[in-house]
Amino acid sequence: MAEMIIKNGVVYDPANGVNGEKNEICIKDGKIVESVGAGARIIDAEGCVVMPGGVDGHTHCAGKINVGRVMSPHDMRYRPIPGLSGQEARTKLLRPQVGYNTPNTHAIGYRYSKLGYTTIAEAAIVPMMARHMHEEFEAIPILDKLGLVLMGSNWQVMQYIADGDSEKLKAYVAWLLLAARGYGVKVVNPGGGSNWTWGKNVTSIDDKVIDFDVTPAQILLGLAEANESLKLPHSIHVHCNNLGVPGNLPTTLATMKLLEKVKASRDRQVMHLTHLQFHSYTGTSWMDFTSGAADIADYMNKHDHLTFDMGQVIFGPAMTMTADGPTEYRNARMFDAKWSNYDEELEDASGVVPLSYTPYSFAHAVMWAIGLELALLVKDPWKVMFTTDNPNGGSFVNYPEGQALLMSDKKRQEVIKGFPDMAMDRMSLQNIDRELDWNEIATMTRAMPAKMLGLTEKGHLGAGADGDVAIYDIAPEKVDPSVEHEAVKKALSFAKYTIKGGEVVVADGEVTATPKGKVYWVNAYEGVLQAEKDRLMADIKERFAKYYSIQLANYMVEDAYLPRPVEIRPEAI
Amino acid sequence: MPKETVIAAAEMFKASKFAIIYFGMGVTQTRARYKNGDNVSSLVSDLNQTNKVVMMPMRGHYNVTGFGQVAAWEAGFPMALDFARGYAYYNPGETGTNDILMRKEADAFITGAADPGAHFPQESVKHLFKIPAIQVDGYANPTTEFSDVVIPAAIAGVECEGTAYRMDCQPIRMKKLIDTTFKSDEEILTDLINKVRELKGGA
Ligand SMILES: [Zn+2]
Repeated sequence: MAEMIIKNGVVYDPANGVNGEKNEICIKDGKIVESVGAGARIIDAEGCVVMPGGVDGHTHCAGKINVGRVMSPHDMRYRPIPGLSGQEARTKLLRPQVGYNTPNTHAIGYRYSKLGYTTIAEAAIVPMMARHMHEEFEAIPILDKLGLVLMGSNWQVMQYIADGDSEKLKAYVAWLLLAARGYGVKVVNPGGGSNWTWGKNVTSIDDKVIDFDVTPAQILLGLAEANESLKLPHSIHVHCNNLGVPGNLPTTLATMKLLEKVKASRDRQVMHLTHLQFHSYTGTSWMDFTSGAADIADYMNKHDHLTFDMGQVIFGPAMTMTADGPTEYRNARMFDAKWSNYDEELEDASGVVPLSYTPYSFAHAVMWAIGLELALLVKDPWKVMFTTDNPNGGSFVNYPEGQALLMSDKKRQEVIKGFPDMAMDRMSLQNIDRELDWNEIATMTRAMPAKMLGLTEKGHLGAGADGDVAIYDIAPEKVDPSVEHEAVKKALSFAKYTIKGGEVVVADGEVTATPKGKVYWVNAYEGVLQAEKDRLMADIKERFAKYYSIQLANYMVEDAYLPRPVEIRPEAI
Repeated sequence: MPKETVIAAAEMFKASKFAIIYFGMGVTQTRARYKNGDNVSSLVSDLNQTNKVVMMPMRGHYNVTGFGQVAAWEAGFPMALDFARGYAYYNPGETGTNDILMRKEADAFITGAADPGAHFPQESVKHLFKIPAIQVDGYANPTTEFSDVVIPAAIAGVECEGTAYRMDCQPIRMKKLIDTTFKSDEEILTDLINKVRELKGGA
């Protein structure tokens, strides 16, 4: 493969301590190298910011999003951001594109690439449906992908925790990752998905799960310990109980404290808390709820065992999709909206509901503020990943808007001016003047997500990393992001160049090539002792014979669904 | 419907721990069409105030669910796709296969893994007799009667591999059991598009 050298750009590579230096970046055979020959292709990044390719560690991009598409033909025409949304005819190179919150797979690949993102993690798939996720992955061009596997309401998981059989639990977690060709352990509203089978939920981490002698707290601890014992690259990835419920702050803080007793097996967090904005509410109802961001941030600032992502709200239409089945039913009733529900046999639940956020609603205004407050009040950017929980808080094509807001107090104050009075004493964002710099933005969108996921080839520009680079047409020494919001947003929305595996895939904001991406998965089952495998398989066979509607022989995702796999084996266990 | 039947149904729901309403073409294809489905879903939503109740469509025709899934992720919509604008345009009632056939708008027809000859309305089938029609299928059926070209295809799950989605959207791997000289649907369609591109000089 041809060699490439990126010259004259201002480089932000936080993982390697490079903060705005005029370094050259060399790529050979798709990888970052120390140097290249004289014949290398020169990319002139004069007047540009250079960063590693973006890593979205939590997005709903394959699986449930297809339910969203079927539910929302209207979304296919939304075009609030020309070039990143709406209907676009096919070209000689590109497939047709439609949609905003639920774009077709090809549009997902093209548009993330335009933003300079090169790796995305599907946030939640039940193992049974993993084959579907991989089918959609194959239809998302350019990007590298990975999927997190839902385990927090799984019957067998809960049974082994109730039995105190940690070895079998460990073997089963590894087996589920193998079966789904998944990357990590996802826990959504632990226990609640199982209770939703009977139309019920859990309301604290100490409630009992119906028919199982376990609590959400025990599920969290059991899975975290199994995760660390297997030395998985990623920690457990948790969506807490009581999402979106005023007064959920104590539940979130209790979940955070609970994990203090688990020790990380690698240089990373022991738990990633996702879309924390939806979990940071005080009060007893929507009438008296306020932002709990200060309490969350205070805890985060004093402890180092956790990371989180924002779940930033973007004003306008969104599409909520989550394994949190009871929450989606509640949303549908509250907003009188369309509702889709899945009950996934022994594994989990899920739902999809469209909704819209407006700055004229004090509740939505405060939610918008909480996401930003969390990112600004937590001092260390290595604990924060930028997300909108795409498309729950809003479509990923709005990432530049959210990132530019983090860089400009002036712009935030402008937006806040339009909020209803009732919002003002429920939030604190108007009093926070911190403005993030390019290095902090690069941390929250590249370095941190890659480290949080344990993706060693991603999120940095050191030798050996994948040749994934984003180049934005904005000169840090000339443009002040705190006053030039629109310029920052525009630069981040349409990369000057996006380079994926050493190939230019976007130039001047347009897609120029559509290579196929890789799919990362973790094979920890290989390292499980044969005696444990035998003990586990006896149970699995019984479960399939008794309960599942499909055969064990039809369950494991076949090699055919991963044409470009990257198998990661945690060190021997 | 007598009042007693409605009350008996309500009692059944109230007494259940988990109820599923399976609905079929009697709901979707009779007068009021999608409005019937809307009524069922409103009922289901209300019932969940007290009991767990869900609804699921009874899909027919083998992998019709899989078609809807693939169409949705590839093009944005599960059916009735019109690509004349260069992207998918969707308006059931206007862009459905039968809408187009009834208006006698189609000037050629290709079908695979379905039997419109047996299942489409007579007015549609009459038009299909008048225009060139291509059938891709493993078996002869009423559609064969009006087809000008019949391309026999390998049977997925017997003669070739593939994926089918159950009506609950669960994907299942179709395995190959025996060898065949027939091509798979995918190979046939790929050959066709390549030939069209060669003839038309497109990308
Ligand atoms: Zn999510």
